[in-house]
Amino acid sequence: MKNKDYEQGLMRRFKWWIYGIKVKLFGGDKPKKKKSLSSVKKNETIFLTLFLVFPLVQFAIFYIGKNINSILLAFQSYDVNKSEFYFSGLTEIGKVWDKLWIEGTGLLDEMRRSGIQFLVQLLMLPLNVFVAYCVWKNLPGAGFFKVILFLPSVVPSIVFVLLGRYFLQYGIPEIFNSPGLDLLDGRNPETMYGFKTVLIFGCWLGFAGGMVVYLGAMSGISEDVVEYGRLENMNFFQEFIHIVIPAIFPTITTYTVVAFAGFFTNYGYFFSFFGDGGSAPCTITLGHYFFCLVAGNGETPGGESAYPEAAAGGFLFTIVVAPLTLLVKFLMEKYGPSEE
Amino acid sequence: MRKNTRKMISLVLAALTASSLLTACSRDVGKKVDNSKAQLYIANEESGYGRTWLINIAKNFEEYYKDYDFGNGKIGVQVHLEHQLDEFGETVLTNTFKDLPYDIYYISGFAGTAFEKQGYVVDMTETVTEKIYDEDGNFAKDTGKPATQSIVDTLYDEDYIDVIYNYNYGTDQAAKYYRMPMVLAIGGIVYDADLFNENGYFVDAQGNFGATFADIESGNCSTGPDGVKGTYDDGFANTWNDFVDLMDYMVQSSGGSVVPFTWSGQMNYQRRIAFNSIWANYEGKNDYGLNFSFKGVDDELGPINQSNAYLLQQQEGKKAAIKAMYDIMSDSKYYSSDAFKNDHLEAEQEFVWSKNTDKRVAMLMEGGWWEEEAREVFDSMSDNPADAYGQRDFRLMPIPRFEGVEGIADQKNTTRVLSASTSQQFEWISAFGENTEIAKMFIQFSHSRSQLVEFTKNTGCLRPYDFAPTQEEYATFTKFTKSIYEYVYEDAKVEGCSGAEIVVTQPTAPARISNPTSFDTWIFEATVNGVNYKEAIDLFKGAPGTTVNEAFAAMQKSWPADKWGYQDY
Repeated sequence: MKNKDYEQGLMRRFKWWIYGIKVKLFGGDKPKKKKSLSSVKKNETIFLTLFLVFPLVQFAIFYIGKNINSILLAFQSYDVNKSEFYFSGLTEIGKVWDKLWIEGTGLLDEMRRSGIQFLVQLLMLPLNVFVAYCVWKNLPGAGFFKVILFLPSVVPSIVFVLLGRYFLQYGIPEIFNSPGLDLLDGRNPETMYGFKTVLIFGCWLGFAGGMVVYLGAMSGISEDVVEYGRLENMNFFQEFIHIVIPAIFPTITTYTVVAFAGFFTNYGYFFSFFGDGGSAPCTITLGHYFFCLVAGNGETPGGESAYPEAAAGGFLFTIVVAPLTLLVKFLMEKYGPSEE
Repeated sequence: MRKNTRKMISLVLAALTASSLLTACSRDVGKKVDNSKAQLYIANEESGYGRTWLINIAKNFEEYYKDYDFGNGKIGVQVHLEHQLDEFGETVLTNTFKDLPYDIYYISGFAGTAFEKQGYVVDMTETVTEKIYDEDGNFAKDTGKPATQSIVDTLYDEDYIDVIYNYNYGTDQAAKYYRMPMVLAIGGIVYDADLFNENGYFVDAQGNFGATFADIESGNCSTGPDGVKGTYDDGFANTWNDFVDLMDYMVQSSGGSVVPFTWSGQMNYQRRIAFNSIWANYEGKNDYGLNFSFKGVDDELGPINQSNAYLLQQQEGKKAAIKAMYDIMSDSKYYSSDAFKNDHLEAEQEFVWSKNTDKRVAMLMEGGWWEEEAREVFDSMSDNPADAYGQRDFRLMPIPRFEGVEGIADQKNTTRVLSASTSQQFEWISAFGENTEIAKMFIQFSHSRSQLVEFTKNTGCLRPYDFAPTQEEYATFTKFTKSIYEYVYEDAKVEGCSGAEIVVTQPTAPARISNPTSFDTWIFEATVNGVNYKEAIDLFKGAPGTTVNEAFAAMQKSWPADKWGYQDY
């Protein structure tokens, strides 16, 4: 029969067993020889090297290697008969350039939609900042907005896409007693419902990311500066313009620069809603098009023959967007407001 | 002390992290290993066919070989199954295949062809050409009859051999069998025969709607598209014009409570299956098959090879399919208001569930696997036993003939032709498995007659091998499965009936194999009003004023001769 002594004995044995492992691993608590400085340094070097080697190798392969490969591919074409690549100079880049200006079978409509997406993104930026400011100022209902706007950061976006799709396609027609209404219809160039709906959906989800970042930036504003504003009798909007905006302007700059850099590659939530866009041709943006060109459509994998066009597109867009992005960054840093 | 505790915690966390890696490489796929038995590991890409069929065949395999001595003291065999969808899809499997322990894979074709080139899969030539079956497809050693057939001999159609055998990647190496096709995934239009019977949507001998099963039984019915009485399609609309009238009759006579069609607007495969079935049935086996081989002679267009295959876009059968989509889209009462919103499962659900709503759906564009895929929907309705899985009468719709249809030349083909995406699903033996010999035994066992029946019984689909179920086995098929079996094999029962010819939609032309993305829209692609549509139905939805001729012309422009660029092979 188990009694207290027996249990205590068991605990004692367990403790000794743990102690035994500890002694084996670390040599017990007896005083050790002090390690020399050089051996500590050597161990640190080994540790840091091992720690860094994996990300460095990864960077070398998936960034440097991949981009070199992409740049080379931009100057190659694919021989459909021999199933092999060959160098063709600027042929593929020229093809993409020509395609950019053709409607329908070309990419002109895709470029227009990318432009609209970019403008909406830019227009939403001040609104994002202002809503974050309202939450930061703890206005009535701020807590509620915080939860609602933070939700998309907590729940995976694909879950929101599924919920959104179901609500938009089955809920809304039920509520408005309009069974034929399809707010995600991506086939009709007149209504463009699918494109508009997903843009608005993206704006809402964009609040989540913006809220986290802008609130983080605002929490770094010195209390003294805010206090100074109060002493100067600044009202709510003056405080926003003269204190908050200058204080978080580096963050705004980053967001703007990222928006410019992503002009050609951003595909928002269109892939999540429409897959390769085969059934929603009026929603495809440039980023969406080039992504699906390589990734395929889920049923048909992207083929090697599509790689040169995708690489040439990437190369061409980089040439256009890289200087523009740097210029925007330079101008915003030079002429934007500062805390001084 | 505190430092040591931290070290200890770090070690434990590191060990936990490492153990998760080991778990990923684990060979245990859910069942405890019985070391007294030989082991076999099977991976199943669980798509629309489900898993029941494989579970049952594995059990039968274990039972059949329970006393067999596999060597090294192993008596009997234990089969471990893993059913996944994305994990065994091409994207993931391309990176993981080498590290996975499975001996047999049931997966989609594209990944597999790459694996053949890389030597990832085992040469199965001996396994599939060994004559081990009797004339009925049973193991000859069990029946005592002469062994006259191999797996290859039982293939439904010799065309499959082109798909699986002549695939030598343009090298001088002798062709080998690395894979065998898994399913004969016949698709097209599925109709609710119960509804047709209840509402009299069949055609009587005078050409009027209102006929029922009883009329068909008594012979008071139309001949159906094949023009022969006493066959599968008796009572069905003879021509496409009759079918359009039928759609109208459904809407008018029910006061709008019956909707002729639904489909998935999200997943294009359903619309493509219907489009393909009309195109194939119009063109006939040879001409439709040219779209995958780019080699042969088209009745209307003349010799076709890889350098001029763009001409196939002019096939009249395509125009007929476009016309069909145009007619279905010509009135919004002909299709469900949810059709363009549905994904494939929602479309199946709508079709099945509509029995309990005031908008009953009469037809669904789908593949033969749909009933198994919608099993949960049937289960949810099983309070009424008549609505449970396999109890309702769904059937594969015979495609009406295009005769006297405005703007379309009269159809010449008189044989039933079906389009089947069989070849997208194959079985392979991995070169990285450790039980290759047992895997080969499993492949041979799973191709014996009774196991082919097991597959059909549990999936609603046929395997592309000739097999004849016994009467008892046939009785276990669902009504929909029986309809497919009857449609395909009717020539064996009914004199004067041609049965069905099946075209494998697996490309064999090198241009198509090497450029899958480019040819993804071979079925249909047209730019109208500046919008590039990839389905005919979508075109008529997005640009409703477009005529059939305009759509057909726009489609041909997507494959211009001057940008073709492929040479003959």
